[in-house]
Amino acid sequence: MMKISFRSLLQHKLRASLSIFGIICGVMAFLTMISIGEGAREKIIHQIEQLGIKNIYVRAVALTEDQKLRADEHLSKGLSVYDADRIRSGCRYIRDVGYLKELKQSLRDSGISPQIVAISSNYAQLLNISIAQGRFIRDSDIRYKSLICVAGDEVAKSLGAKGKLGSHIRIEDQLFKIVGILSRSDKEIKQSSVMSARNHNQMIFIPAGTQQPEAQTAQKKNEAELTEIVAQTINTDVVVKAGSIIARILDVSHKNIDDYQIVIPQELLRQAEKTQSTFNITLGAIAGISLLVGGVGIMNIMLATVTERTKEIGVRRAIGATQQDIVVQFLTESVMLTVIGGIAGIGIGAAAVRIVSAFAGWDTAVTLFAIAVPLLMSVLVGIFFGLYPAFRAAKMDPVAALRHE
Amino acid sequence: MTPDLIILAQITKQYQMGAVQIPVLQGIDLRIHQNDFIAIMGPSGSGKSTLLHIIGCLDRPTSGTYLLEGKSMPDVSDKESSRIRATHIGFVFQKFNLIPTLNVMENVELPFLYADIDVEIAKKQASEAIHRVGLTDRIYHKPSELSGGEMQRAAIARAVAIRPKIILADEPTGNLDSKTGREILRLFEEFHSHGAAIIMVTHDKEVASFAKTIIYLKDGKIEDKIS
Repeated sequence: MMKISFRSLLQHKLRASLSIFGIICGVMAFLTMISIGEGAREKIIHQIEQLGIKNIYVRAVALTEDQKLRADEHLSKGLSVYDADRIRSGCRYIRDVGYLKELKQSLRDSGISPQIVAISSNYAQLLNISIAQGRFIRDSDIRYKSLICVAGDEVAKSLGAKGKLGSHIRIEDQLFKIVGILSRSDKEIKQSSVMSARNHNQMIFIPAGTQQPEAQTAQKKNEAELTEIVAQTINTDVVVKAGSIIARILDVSHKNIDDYQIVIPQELLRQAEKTQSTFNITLGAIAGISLLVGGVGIMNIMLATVTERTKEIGVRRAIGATQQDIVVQFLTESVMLTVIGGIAGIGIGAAAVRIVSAFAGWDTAVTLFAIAVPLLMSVLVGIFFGLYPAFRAAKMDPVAALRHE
Repeated sequence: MTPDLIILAQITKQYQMGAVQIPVLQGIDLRIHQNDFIAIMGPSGSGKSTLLHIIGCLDRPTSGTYLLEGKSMPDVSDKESSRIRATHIGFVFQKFNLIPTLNVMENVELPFLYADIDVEIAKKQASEAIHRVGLTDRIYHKPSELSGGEMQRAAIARAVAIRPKIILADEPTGNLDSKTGREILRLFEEFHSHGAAIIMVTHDKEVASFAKTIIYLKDGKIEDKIS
């Protein structure tokens, strides 16, 4: 039966290939959509996991000149250790608070320019940063202002021999001993959006308070003491509640000056999922429409086939085909058409996904789901749009069909 | 006297052409036995083909009784009448009507497919039939690669392969030269001698002379019957 159907499709190769064009497009759109969507979703989830789903970030925001004047008036000094302490003591949902300061200092005598940050001792633990060799910064390092540092994986590698445990690096005018090297974090992260995590591979961590005071130029006078505060909640259920409490605490201490921004990864995740589903619905609708148009094309071609083969239908009926046999025959043909279209669409779609990820640099993931769904859709389209032509063929009067020339 | 294979009583058939009813058959009474070889003759429009289609369960009479082996044919379902066409009746047409995309073997196997007969048996009987019509060396050829006579032989093989009780032929020699036509008719004689009832529509007297009984149809009625 399949063989016979296939053979009659081969009779009209050009016509058959043209008629499945719509199906190819629809399936391709579906596959591409799901793959790109899936890739984007995985990336977002990965980023948010790196930020920590239980964490709340308070990040310093650069102020405009106007805002700076107001900040001066209100004596708001930007994000500070004092804020971190207030968050710790003022919100019972918070388990721990850490902080980070991006320094504008540079590594001397090395030729590389890693990001140097001063951090609280719990920072690594809050962000699940793991250490490959040596140790991380401890409380005592901060208390005694030890001149030690922890290097990211890439930094240590670029430093070469100087990047080993125990060797010293020079930051501005001070020597820091390397006591730890981080293990490589698995994914390259482009630091662009608010929710992106830092790329620890390219950083050097020193204990907060050991950095040399930066030159107090007029411009830098208003620079905040901290770049980022990380507050970890006791569990994931209270993150949003804790976020609003933190907002209130900071409102008071910053006197309503918006020199900080609260970033809650959990909310970002929720937003991302929402954006994702909008994206999916849009692309799904486009793919659906192309499948619909493709299906109409199939129906059209099947109706033409049925008319063209009226005589054959009459002959088949005369030698014993039931109406059901005729329906099955033409349905097999239309489903075969759409499935061929579906497979072609999947092939082209998979190639398109590759090209997209190669050129646009998007993350994509061709999952089993992304293949199974459009394939199933193409079968359904074949059945749905093949039914009417098939029934029309079956309902023909055999005698009239035989007389048809 | 053998029992009647087919009994037709007061068969009428009318076609609706717009608002007008066109009578095609106006009361046909006919009994067909297993050993009959009948030629139906008559001018065009006399209802020859319609009668053949009704006998072949392809068309249903407007009124009247049609019994095939004692079973009333107008009452059966599409499925059942299709099954009877596949197993009891073999059709041979003027224009051969082979399926162009299938080769000779596949064309001959087609009735077995519809009769749900085991593939092995189908293959055996089909090649046997092809052998009997003398097309063994053309078995995998497409209809377009055959001559008219060969196509009609293939069509006959398709009609007889399942060993039906009745062979219905509508102008089987109409598209063939007289020599090839005679060869085809000899095939019919041979299958008749093997026990199939044959009913053949023709307007050619020479062709009709191969039959044992000739029925003349005029204006939807049997005008004459010569045995």
